[in-house]
Amino acid sequence: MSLSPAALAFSGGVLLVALGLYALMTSHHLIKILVGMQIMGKGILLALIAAGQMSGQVDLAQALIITVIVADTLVTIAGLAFAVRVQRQFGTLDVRALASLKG
Amino acid sequence: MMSLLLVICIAACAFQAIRVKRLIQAAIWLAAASALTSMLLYLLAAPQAAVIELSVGAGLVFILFVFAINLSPGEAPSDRSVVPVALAVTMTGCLLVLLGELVWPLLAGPAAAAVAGTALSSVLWHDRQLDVLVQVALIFVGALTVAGLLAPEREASEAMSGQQQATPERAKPAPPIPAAPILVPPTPARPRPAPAAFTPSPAAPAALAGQKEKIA
Repeated sequence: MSLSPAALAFSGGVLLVALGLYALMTSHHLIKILVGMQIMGKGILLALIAAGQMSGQVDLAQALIITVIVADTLVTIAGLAFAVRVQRQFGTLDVRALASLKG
Repeated sequence: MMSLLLVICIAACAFQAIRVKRLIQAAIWLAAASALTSMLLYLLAAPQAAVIELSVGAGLVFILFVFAINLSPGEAPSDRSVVPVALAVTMTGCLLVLLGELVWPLLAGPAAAAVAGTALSSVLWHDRQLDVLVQVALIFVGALTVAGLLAPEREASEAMSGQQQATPERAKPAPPIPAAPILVPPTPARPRPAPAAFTPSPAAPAALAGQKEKIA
């Protein structure tokens, strides 16, 4: 069975979301967590453009992709600023150092 | 087949970005995955989204990652996983199976004909006007967030150093507040030294008399 490019991109998007979820589940490091989030974001981009291709609305998909890129980048920027702040305050980027509020 | 090759390369780059230990290498693999994603977007007839992904995803985000990694020096992420690796693999496999089951019927379907007469600019600026407004608001919120996270830290550190300089003055009034509840139980013990001082020493009555004179 030969898949169309859109179907391939859709499968790749699903795979990237799974990879990003795995990274989120297994890493303690704040920057690695952000890398996992970025990978999930790229999978969502691929799934969106593939859906746009399949439904014949590529331009709507492009508009949505631009919004997703802006939101994803801003979340990453805020996360990196948070990581720098945590590094200054706690001296580490390990999320287990943030457990001091744990009841 | 170009797109199959690109999908495989993107997945490999993402896997490397997760797997490598050094953060700078992870950032480089992530940028490579982003660049390949933008190539795939271009192949799927989305050139504007591709160029934005290339400039923002591969350019800006990579530079910010390198900046943040340089600001937080030398520390390899630990190997230990948050959840057990077997559980993580199982959950990821479950996600793949569920999403694959959802997506699989779509993959075999024929591609729809393109809806003619739309352009990205008209979609973005007319149909999706709210999205543009939300993007502008998001950019402001992001700028404020970064300013709030990074700039007050300087003031806080200055205040901290000021407190450290002022510790001899401020630390002395500070301890009695936590110490007071600790001192409450020993208060009945305070008279105890006093009888001990009264009974053994003969000079104590004289001192007591002196105190009484002072009181009088």
